[in-house]
Amino acid sequence: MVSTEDIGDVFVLRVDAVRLDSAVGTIIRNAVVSKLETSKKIALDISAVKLVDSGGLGSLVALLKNISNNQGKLTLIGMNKSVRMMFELSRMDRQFSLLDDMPKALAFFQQA
Amino acid sequence: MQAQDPGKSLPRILVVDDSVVERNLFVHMVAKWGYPVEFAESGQQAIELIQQKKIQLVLADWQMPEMQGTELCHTLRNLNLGQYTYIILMSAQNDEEFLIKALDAGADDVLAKPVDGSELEARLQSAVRRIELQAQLARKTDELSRAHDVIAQDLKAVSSLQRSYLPEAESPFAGLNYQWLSVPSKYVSGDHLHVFELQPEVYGFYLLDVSGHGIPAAVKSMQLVQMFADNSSSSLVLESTADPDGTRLVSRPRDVVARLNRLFQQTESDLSYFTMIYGIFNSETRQVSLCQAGHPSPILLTGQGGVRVLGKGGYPVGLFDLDDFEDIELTLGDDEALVLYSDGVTEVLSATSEPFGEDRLLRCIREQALLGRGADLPECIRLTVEKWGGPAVQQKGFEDDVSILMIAPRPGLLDQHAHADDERQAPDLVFRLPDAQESRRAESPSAAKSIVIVDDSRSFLRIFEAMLNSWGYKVYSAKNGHEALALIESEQPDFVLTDWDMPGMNGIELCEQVRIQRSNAYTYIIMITGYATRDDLLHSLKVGADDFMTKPVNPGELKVRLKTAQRIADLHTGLEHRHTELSQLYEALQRDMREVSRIQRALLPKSRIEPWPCAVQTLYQPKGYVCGKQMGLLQTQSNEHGFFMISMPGEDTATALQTMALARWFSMARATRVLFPVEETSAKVRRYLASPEQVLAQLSSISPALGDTAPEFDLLYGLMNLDQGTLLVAGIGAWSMVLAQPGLSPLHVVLPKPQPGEARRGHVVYQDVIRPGSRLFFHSQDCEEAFGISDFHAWTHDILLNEQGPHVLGKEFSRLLAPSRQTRMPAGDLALLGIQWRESFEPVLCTFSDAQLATLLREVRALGQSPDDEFSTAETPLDLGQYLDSLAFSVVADTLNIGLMSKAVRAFVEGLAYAEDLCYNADLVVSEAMTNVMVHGFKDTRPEPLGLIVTAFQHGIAVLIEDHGSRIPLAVLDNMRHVQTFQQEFSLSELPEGGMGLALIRAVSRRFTYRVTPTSNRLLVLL
Repeated sequence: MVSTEDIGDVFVLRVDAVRLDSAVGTIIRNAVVSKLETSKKIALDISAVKLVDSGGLGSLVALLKNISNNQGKLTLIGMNKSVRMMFELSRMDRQFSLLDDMPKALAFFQQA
Repeated sequence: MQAQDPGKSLPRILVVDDSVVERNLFVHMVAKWGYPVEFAESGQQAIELIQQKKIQLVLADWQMPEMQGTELCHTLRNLNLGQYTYIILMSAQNDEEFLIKALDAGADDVLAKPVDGSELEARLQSAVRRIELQAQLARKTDELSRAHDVIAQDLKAVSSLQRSYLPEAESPFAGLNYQWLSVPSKYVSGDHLHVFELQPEVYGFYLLDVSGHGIPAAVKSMQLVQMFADNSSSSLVLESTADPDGTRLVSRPRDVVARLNRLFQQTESDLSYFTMIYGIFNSETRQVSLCQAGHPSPILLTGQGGVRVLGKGGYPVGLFDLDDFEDIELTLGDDEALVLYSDGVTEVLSATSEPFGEDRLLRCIREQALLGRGADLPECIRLTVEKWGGPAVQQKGFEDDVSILMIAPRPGLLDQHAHADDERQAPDLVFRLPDAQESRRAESPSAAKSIVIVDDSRSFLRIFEAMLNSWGYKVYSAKNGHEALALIESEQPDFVLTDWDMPGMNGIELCEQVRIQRSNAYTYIIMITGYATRDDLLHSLKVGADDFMTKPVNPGELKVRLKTAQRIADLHTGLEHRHTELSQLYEALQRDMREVSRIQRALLPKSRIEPWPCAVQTLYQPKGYVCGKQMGLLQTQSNEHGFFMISMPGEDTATALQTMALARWFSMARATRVLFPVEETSAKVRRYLASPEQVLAQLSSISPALGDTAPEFDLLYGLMNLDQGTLLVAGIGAWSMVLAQPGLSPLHVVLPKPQPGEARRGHVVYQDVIRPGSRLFFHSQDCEEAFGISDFHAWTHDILLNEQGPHVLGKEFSRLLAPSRQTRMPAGDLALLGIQWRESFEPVLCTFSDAQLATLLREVRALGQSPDDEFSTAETPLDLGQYLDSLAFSVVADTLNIGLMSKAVRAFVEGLAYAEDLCYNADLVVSEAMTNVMVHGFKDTRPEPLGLIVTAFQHGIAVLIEDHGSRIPLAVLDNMRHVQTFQQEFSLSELPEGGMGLALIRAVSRRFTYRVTPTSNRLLVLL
């Protein structure tokens, strides 16, 4: 469901699911929480995701807060166009850094 | 060197004689009979050899220079050899005086010189038999005594465990002080008391007394303790409702007692009940509210020695199915205190069987209070009561558990006289076994010994009767073997003196019969022979005679032989007695161990057959009564379960108790927080699995160590969301997990065995979403062989089933336990946890008739035309245009099916070439609506399929979902009416559970209706 990888000091998670719901959110959160002590740069690749439901959205917001509280940064990578419309509708796009691909994400982390 | 009877080793004989010729003669003789032999020239040398080589049989000459035979006997008897040494003294001087001297000095047998070979051989045989008998009994007693010590040690640990749940000696609370005392009547107590913080400034306290004593009572008291310790949603002492700021309301004492009364109603298998006082104290207002349930009335101590008895009784808990409990309300003043006690205090009997009683207790309290010893009161009461009970209580302890709890505001009475008695300490644990004392029968050594004499000659009988009577024996005469047997059975004599040659039953047959008869005491048999051959003598000793004498019987010799007999029989009876006593104790302790085993089993998760939301089965088979394996299920939230397994090396009860203590700790809320911490950042309770390293660090600091070192153990723990099927499992140590998901091949996860000396590391066992109908099996790897599952093929071929349905787990457990698979004897303790999450259902594609379609289209179009929906009024009517197509399913809402429906609907609408956002929204609406049904619709009941119909029009899409579960709560719908739009600060936390999904549906839909009928809920949305 979720695979992880360390690219430099960036902790990358790839979601291998079409729907990002609360269940997938829980798996993501659990994978991230245990790394928060050491990794401050988290990239979540959701290019495979075609739908984020309310449970998934809730999980992402909780994840974002948790990472920010630990002085970390989160980017969402490769967000599907229609998912993005959803994010814009709920103004979530202002909270998250949404980036197109991994090189952009790595560049983003380097600047920060 | 010597020929030995195979299978039986003869004891080593030490020949002690100063004469080289005689010594060589004896050495030669005994060696010929197969005895290993040593020799010594003098007493001194003999003693050295005996000590050095642990020789048990000594053949010594009486007349020796330097150390005589009698002196040798004396010296040996005074040495602490740690074993019995059998001494045969030989002398040429063969008179009564010699015999008496020899036996007085401690010789076991005597022989006249010149020694008759046959007699020596026979006497040696007799010696061997006695040595063996004694060694056997000593060994048995030793084993028993060790086993007893082990259990006793273990029960002490039970007691320590129980005591560890008592309050701290010094009150840690700012607003409340207390003093307490708890003295168990046995090693454990059926009483318990506690003081705990419920909320800031609000404290709960209780003192309870379970009927009965010992472990059975302790089991229940520990269960109760556990219930009081639970502050989860199922808490006994807090209301499930919270006030607006989220604090749980503290339950009134009478409600708490009523809850317990309902939970602990007597059953046929458990007739016990309990009495208690439970109260709450508010340290700010100093108000006390308490409920008395069949318990002695609490006593209010008002400064300067005033005492008042509160309360009028109340029913005990568990006896009557009534909710009729009352609270007593009072406010404690500065110098006031409340004293609670168990009836063990007032029921202590004096030497004249008069109970201590309430009046004396009140007087005692008043006197002590006037002396200014308020802070020391419980201890003073104990001393007074102990004095009242006299020697009986002082030596054997209290008949009943004695507990006293005193509470007072702080600062207040209990803080005033802290100097009162600095030496006061918590009473030491008293480990008593009353049965032991009772079983020790008073046996006076001066009581006349009884003897049965058997001879077919009347004159012989008469002579011996008179003689033995004059020596102080109680004599029974028998004319033949049959009479003798009957007498021996009825009189249980100490000795039997029987003729060898009798008509009917001869002496040898009599011997055999007596030895077959089982009796508690040992019967010593002396055979009297006329003209016996060597073989006859040996045979009689073989069948059980202890000694023999030749006719004509020398009265002097008989007298001393009887004395030896007495000494040997006493030794034997003493040993046997100790053995009986120990076995009684051992049995009593075993009964208690069975109870401990019951406690341990009571901590296991309860089996659940139905898989909604999850079925649970356990397999638990300790090798002994108890073991170091334990498992448990924790409800962390209504839709979330945690579980854990512990495996501690060691099979002893102390290990089991540590495991039990850990298991109990795991079931407490604070432990749950360690394993499954809550993310602080989220308003919703979101838990995650703590990393094994963190858990390990925490555990080493809190592990209940009964010894000095914290126990090292393997731990597996996991968290499962019962709506979503997310499964997170981690472990430390050698664990295995088998996961069988419908439609997928079974998965086997094996954690690497930690290498000795290697730092213990934790591992993630599993971290993913599982499908409905999945079965999970967890066990430690050391169980694999006994279960016959070392090979994963055993799982895939013999155990796991490729079928669906609610009871697959149960069937798989039967297969696991099938007799044909049980080929090996369990090598160790077995524990396996099995969980089935839900049940799998396949979606069914539906079609409908033209008439049904027409009705639906009419309904949908009408909604489009109507300006009003559930939440708002539209400005313009909605024209859906031409009907294009539809898609319908009957489907149970679960994670797998939601995914399938989401995919099917997306494909259906994309196939009709709608705009991308419309396709997304249709998918979203179906996902959200089905998730809502999944989470709220059925909870713990078997879900029914819902109807999903998507109808496509030229200018829009209609989604209809009709389910038969619980409706969306009105509060959620109401709340949504107030949330205007997403454009305002979108706050996730303000929406109740499920509201977020509905808010999304509403945000993307043009019309939204939700209609509830008695049979179904219809959500119709236009996009």
